Amino acid sequence: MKVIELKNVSKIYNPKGIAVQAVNNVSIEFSQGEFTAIVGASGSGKTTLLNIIGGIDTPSSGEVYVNNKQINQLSERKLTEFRRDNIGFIFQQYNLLPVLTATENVEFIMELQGKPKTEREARAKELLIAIGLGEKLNERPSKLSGGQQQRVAVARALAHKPKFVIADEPTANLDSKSTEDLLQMMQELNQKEGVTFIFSTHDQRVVDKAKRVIVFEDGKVKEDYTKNDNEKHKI
Amino acid sequence: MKQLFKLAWRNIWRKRRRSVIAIVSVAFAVIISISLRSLMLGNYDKMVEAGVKNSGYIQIHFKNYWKDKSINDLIENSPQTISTISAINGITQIMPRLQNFALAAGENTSKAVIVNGIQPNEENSFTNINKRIIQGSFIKNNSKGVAISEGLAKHLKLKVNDTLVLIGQGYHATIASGKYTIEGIVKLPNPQMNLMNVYMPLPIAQEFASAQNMISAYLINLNDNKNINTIAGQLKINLGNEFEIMTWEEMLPEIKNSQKIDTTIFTMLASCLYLIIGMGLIGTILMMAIERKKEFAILQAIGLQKSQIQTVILIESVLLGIVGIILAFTITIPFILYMNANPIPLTGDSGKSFEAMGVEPSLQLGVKPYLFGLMASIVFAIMLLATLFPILFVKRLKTSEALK
Ligand SMILES: Nc1ncnc2c1ncn2[C@@H]1O[C@H](COP(=O)(O)OP(=O)(O)OP(=O)(O)O)[C@@H](O)[C@H]1O
Ligand SMILES: [Mg+2]
Repeated sequence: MKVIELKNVSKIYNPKGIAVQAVNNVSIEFSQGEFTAIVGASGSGKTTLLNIIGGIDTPSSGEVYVNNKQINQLSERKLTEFRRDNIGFIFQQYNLLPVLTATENVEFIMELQGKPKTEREARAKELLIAIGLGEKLNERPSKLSGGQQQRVAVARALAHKPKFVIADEPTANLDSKSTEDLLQMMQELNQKEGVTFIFSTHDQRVVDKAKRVIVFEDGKVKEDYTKNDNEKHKI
Repeated sequence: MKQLFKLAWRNIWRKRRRSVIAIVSVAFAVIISISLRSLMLGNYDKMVEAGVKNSGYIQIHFKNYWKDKSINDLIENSPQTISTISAINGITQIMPRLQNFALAAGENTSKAVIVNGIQPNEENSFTNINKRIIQGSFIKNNSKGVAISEGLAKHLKLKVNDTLVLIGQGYHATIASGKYTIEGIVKLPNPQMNLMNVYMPLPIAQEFASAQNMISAYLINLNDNKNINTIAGQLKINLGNEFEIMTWEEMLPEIKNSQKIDTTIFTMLASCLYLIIGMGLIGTILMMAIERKKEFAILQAIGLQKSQIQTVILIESVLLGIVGIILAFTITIPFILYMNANPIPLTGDSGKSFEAMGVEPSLQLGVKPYLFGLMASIVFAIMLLATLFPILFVKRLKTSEALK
């Protein structure tokens, strides 16, 4: 089932009159349950693409559909609501609110949506235990390691059962052990909850876990293929 | 909303020291301004009380009497007039006085004096003038003699039981003259007044001025100064054009003027204070927003509306304000109540200058509940103003750029 569809999407930045074509006429589709890595050199347009898919940024031209609903025309308010209800985000860092505990961070979006407390708490606990942080439910982010914080961020991104999760270099600030743990965990949740993951990365180990790899170059899709389990894509 | 409130509350305590400084500075401004103003108003109240003690809240004269205080501009002390006056609600006392000017002669000097024809018993209950007696005793309603002020006695070299000779103008161009036994000497706090006052029972004064049953003024006392203008207005209507109705504010303009000056000084001081504190707060609140730019961007990305982020900021500054105000009130309320009940006595020159105005020489803070509301509103206005900048900052924030 098609979850996301991009049709002839371009993004042109125009700082100081010099046009930069960050995304150049890209058309891609993403299906339910995908586990996709977007790779490419620095400046190739990965972040820009993810921001457009996630409704954080709007394309200069082209159309973006999520569940067959066009999102690139929505007002800021509607778009924010759309993101809240449909997308989970994991950023490179500073994901969590420092003033909230791990549980509260995971509950945050559900609370925004007005879900009842008991449901929120049960879901947050379930996820935090699943990612191995059952002991840290009431710790604030400052008491957690970088890897633990990113795991809480993944739990938060999944908590409200979004249509898909977007992660822009989620492991960029993690050591190899934490990277492996996080990937393992994302993979498990991808399988168990059937949620679509789209992430960008520079990390070979992350790419190795991906089912589909999209290689970006100068704002264009250079390669896009689905691997067999043992196949490697060398970046 | 509860969620936003929780965020705001915790954010305040995130940089504990900075928030404490903001709260303390709000409290400081409120404490200083309320205390200073309470002191001024307490002082003012005392001046009013002292002034009113001498002049009454309202006086009723013959029209245009006040300007020249001429012995020819008198009114009749009539039961009808009194009953017209006392028909008005809120009036507690009506006191007739006949004031006249004369020359007082001692053995070989003379001096211009004010002759006060009064009803001694009534006057005592109001002005407590009998408490100021230093020699002999104060005149009674049926006395035939007089009481004079201490400075005058000294000047004329007279003492109790000596005779005072008065010469002056009487009603309708008659000559007024008389000899009176001095029954008592009073020391008046105001040195000027202490040099020139003679008190005699009203009938004796009327006889002296050949003004049978005439008086220069009714002094009116009220149970509450608040209604003074209504009552004065009613008196004007009920008594008609022949009478001049004056409130103490009109009779003692210097009190009102000194209050105006105080108010100006206070407004300037308080404005400076609030300006300085306000700039500090604007800086603090703006900083609190700017340094959370990334956090706001992430919040927005994951689904918080800009308006919700702005609400959090607003709650944060309102909370800072409320905590500051609560702190200020917990300090100021007991302080003011205590200082009101236990005035600090003033000694030395400042004490003397208070005494000269007939005012108790002490610093006493007035209890003015409205000040608390006023200062709290000012703080809130400043807080709202300070919140304007971060709210605009969030409005302009572009999520994708702020995330970089
Ligand atoms: N706000 C902006 N204004 C102008 N140019 C921009 C802006 N954002 C991105 N760009 C340009 O767009 C191009 C793509 O940037 P983008 O951040 O998407 O690359 P990326 O693949 O995510 O790189 P990296 O791997 O370093 O994160 C770059 O040339 C960048 O300089
Ligand atoms: Mg990037």
